[in-house]
Amino acid sequence: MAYAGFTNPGGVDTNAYLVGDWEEVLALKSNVIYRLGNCPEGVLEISREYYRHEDTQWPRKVDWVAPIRTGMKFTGRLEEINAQNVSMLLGQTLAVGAQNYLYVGAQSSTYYFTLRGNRVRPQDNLTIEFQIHKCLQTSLFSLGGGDEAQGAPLECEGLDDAAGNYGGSSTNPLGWIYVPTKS
Amino acid sequence: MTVPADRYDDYLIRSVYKYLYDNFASPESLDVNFQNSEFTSDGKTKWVEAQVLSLGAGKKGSLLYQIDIYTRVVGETGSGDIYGSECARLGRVLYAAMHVSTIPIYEFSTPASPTDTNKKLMIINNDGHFREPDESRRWPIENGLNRYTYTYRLMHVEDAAHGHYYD
Repeated sequence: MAYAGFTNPGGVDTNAYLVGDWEEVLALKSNVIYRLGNCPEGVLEISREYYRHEDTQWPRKVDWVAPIRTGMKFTGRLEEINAQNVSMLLGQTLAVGAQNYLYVGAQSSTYYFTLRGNRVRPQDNLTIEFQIHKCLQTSLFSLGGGDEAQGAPLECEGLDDAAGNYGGSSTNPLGWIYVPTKS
Repeated sequence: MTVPADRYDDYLIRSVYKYLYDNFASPESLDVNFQNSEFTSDGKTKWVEAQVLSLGAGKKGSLLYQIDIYTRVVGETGSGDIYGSECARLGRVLYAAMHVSTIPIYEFSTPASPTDTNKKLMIINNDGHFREPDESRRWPIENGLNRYTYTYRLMHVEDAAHGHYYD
């Protein structure tokens, strides 16, 4: 006996298959766009953690959950090693004409910025975009060697922007992701 | 069960051929021979040959499409593509024409009036790079001919999905 609702094995909205990478990643500060260049291995993560409460009947089961933590993060690798990108990766500043000597180790104020990314669905050319309103660049800075372009890790972690200083609001404190309608 | 038109082998092959003809061969006034052993190139100074090496698109595999560009080193009147520069130029034009992420799949039930199925073939090589050929090669001069070969790998977008079933 089969449930009558099972009518369509496999794909139903094949326009929605996503192949390829995040194509373009931009940092923004005070409405100025800073192009970060090639960013392979990009991954957008939106995390949600729940506290799980178990009932008192044996065997115990989860009977209610409470959301306790949420986060939004983008990781990747910046392949263009220039003063603008390294200054940002070191958490110092965003400036196209960043100074060439970047000094490390002194106490400095924390630098926040907005991050936006874009990619395209190959079947229908519709875009998927995200914005993380208030980011902190938190990854280790490392530069290795080899016969491929040696980039440095990018890890932008979203912070609460309920105050709206970077485009957020109380209903939209971390960021957003734009996804096309199901076809 | 019926197979939808966007996964018919001959429609997929013809869709690639149509794209190749519309965007490369026709603007360059090139003859295109498609896997026809009867074709004769006598008297022609430049032409294209196209053949299908693997018919996996639409079957959880990929379509391997080989395009060979030929120019005659010395033509009938003595002039010709002595240094292979015209062959290289045609290779560049082909590369530019095929430098797209996807090409449309047409259905050819009425061959003279193909209609768009709104499905696409992706041009993606074995390393996962969109828009690039799987292989490109310049051959040594043989039989008085310059020859460049470009092999493209095309996948139906549903081939990329991990599920076992198509739409």
